[in-house]
Amino acid sequence: MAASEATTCPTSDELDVRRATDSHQTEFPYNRDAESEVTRREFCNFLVLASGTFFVGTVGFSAKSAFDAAKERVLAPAAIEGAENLRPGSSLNFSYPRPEDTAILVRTSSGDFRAYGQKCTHLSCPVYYSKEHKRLECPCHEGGFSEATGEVLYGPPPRPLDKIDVELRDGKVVAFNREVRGNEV
Amino acid sequence: MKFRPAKSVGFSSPNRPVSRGRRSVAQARLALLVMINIAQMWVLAAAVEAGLAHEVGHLLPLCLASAVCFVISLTIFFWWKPVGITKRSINEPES
Repeated sequence: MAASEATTCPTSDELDVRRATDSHQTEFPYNRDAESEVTRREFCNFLVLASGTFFVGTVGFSAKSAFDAAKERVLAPAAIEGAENLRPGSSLNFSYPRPEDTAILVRTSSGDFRAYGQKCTHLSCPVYYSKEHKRLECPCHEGGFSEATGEVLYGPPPRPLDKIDVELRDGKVVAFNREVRGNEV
Repeated sequence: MKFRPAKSVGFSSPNRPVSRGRRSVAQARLALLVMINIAQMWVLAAAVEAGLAHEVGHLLPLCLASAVCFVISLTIFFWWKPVGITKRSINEPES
């Protein structure tokens, strides 16, 4: 008796929906409560499937990272628009070499141009230039990088920022190389 | 002086529940699978962090660790099962 009550008693409170769909249940029988129940066997299946997914994800991400690290790219020089008007102690965001490779150009107080990848080497948050501290800072996990070299000053980042070589050519600031540092095996 | 055969601890044979231990084994399987999943999540997070940090040397051990976890979970799923409900051991034929 109790078992039959348990099977017929709805576990959800959507009684209005249930009443509204009663007429359709005869033609298309569908037990929502039974659908929401998960047996131990099904849960075990799901866990094994999840284990396989985690394995595939780990291998896939690792393979892509290793492939990207091993790939050598020949980069074409590109002028950074508006960089010549940059005042000392300020910064400018740009992309090099691809539009998705964000970078930051810093003009130090001495007038030198320094360019680095804008992605923090910890978890890829964008870094910004802090003029008063004269360093590049990551707001996500409080990492700091040197303005002069891009080396880690403090915080969790494990390696320096990507270094982009820049030089002045015909009055324009031109980026001509991007170096990923700190991945020596 | 009479000698009686030694009693086994727990249920004697006639009163022993048919599902003796099966539920424990099933729950242990579940617990192990959950723990393996948690370990694999940790390994995946470590691989993402190592990949983003270009620490390529850490990726292979992490892949191997994840593979070992996956093999263990497959082993548990396919071979480590409770015995049949009518059997008392895996060597006993179905009655």
